[in-house]
Amino acid sequence: MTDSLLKLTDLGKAYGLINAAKDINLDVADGEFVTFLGPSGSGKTTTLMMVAGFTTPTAGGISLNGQPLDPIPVWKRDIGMVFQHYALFPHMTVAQNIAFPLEMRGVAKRDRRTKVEEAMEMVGLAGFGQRLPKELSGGQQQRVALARAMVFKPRLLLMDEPLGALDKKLREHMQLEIMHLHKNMGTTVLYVTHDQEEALVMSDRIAVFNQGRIEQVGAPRDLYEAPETKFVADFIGETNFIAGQAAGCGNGCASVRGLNGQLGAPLVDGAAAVLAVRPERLRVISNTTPGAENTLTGTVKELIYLGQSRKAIIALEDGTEVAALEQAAQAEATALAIGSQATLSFRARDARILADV
Amino acid sequence: MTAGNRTLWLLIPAVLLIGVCFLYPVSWLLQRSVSEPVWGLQNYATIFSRSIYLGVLWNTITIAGVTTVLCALIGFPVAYSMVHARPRIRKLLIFVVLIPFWTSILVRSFAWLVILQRGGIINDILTGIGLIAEPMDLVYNRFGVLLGMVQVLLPFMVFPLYAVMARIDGSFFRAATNLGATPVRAFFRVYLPLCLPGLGTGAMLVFIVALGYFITPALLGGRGDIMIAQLIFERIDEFGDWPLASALAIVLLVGTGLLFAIIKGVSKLRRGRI
Repeated sequence: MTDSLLKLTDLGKAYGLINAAKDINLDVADGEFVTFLGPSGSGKTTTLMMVAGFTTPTAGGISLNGQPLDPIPVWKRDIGMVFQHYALFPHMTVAQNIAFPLEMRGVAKRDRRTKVEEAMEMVGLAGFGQRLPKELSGGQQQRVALARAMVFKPRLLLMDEPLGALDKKLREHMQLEIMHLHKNMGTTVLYVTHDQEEALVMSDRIAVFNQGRIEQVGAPRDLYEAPETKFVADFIGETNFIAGQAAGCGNGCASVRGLNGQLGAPLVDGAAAVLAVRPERLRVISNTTPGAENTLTGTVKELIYLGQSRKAIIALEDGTEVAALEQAAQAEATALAIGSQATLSFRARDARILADV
Repeated sequence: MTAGNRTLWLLIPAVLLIGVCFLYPVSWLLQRSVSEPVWGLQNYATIFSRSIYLGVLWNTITIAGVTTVLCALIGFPVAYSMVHARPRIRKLLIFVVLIPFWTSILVRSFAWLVILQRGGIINDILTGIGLIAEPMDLVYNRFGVLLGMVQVLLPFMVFPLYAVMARIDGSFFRAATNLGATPVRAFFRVYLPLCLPGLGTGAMLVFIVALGYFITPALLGGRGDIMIAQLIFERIDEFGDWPLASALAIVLLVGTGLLFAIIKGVSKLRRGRI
């Protein structure tokens, strides 16, 4: 990746003995939409604040367009930011808020007005210029914050959980709008969220944060289908874990308790490991199906009707509960009853063998 | 409606207090000011035509005004530090700001005399180390009056400011710098305007209380620093001139009321536009 716009190299922030972020390495390409995903306190916001310049790194460096950012103060970084609670200036109208970055850059008054109007049109708020922020709904305030952060055409746009304060419907709507804006403007975006669904929907790539470090970076599909750590498999989507010891079978595959799967990351024979398999990859089969690989047998504990699908919770002999998700049509074909025995099967290429930490 | 009527009696103590202790004496003063020695506005005419009275009015306004400005300049950083200090330091600061509130105004003014007078601590030290040859006049002048009044009135500025500042989210300032404002511009364009409600309330309290100040200017001021309250006292105490003193009191009251109305009007205008 030679044409990376933003480069984080061994970036770290320590508060005394506590590492809020450590060994962060990431290249973001021009025009990319990259999401920092992780639970609260995982270092994602700290990393974002270091890029914005509000937090000074204690290790490593950041460069933008090949130029080190560290000596550049916040106000000269030319990076737009949408804050968690928008931080719209309450004493200024919508138009004044959006004009603020232009005013600070000494843009002439007439240009300012046209640019502000363009920006308001872009976020669908034409005609709202004379309102005060408090006279707008949450979604409208969100749009003003977006317009204000983009009106000066920053090279990089940072967003810190921008949709956290909105209800689910509006959030989904704004996700699509932000994606469209990103596509149309071509701005590079760093987006912070703890909502894995949001991350999967919006991102070109996701960096999963855990305890101050990046666990894995990849496209949404890679993270979901090929997690490299137990944390990533657990945090993104729903996963069944079957714990045991790794036994090698070479060539990128391994087994746990005789069940085969793909190796997520190199593992020593005999190490504590889990086999991770998604509920939708488990098939309910009848005992008589011949030649089925990777079978699990247990008792049906619960059947949950989900409309378009059905979820069966099955307790294995050792007490481990696994969930199997079947589409409605298929669920009708396999009659299951609570308390009855069921056999599940999955393909080795749909399961991951991961270190159990 | 009935619920409103039923709770109206709660207002009786307040109405009685204001009626007996405020409205009655004020109307009595108003009446004396326009009825003696004959009915008419002669007392007011005297006040607004004689240079000594106009001088005292001017003194009162400038001393109160300068006190307000000084309180704002000193109180702003104090309130800011209180908001951003760690809890223990904050408690200490609040305590320090409040101490003058808990000491008698007489004691405080006399304490300033001990410190500031020609044979006082400051002059003794400065002449002792040879920094100045002659003791300086630090008291019985405008400097002494302002020093004493600012010390007493500072809490009136600090606490309203503190209350407003404590509610200003730090992300406003961060957003301003992120959008390209240097810290100085972010302060004047974003932080200061957000502090204005507290600054306005504090300034109004300080100015209005300062207008009626009496003991501090009497003890720490000189002949040129007489304020309207001293003049009222002098007219009654030395000359028994109730009509003129009443007129002066009414001028003070009406002036304060006018100021209050103007500030109210201005802040309403501000809220309406931009």
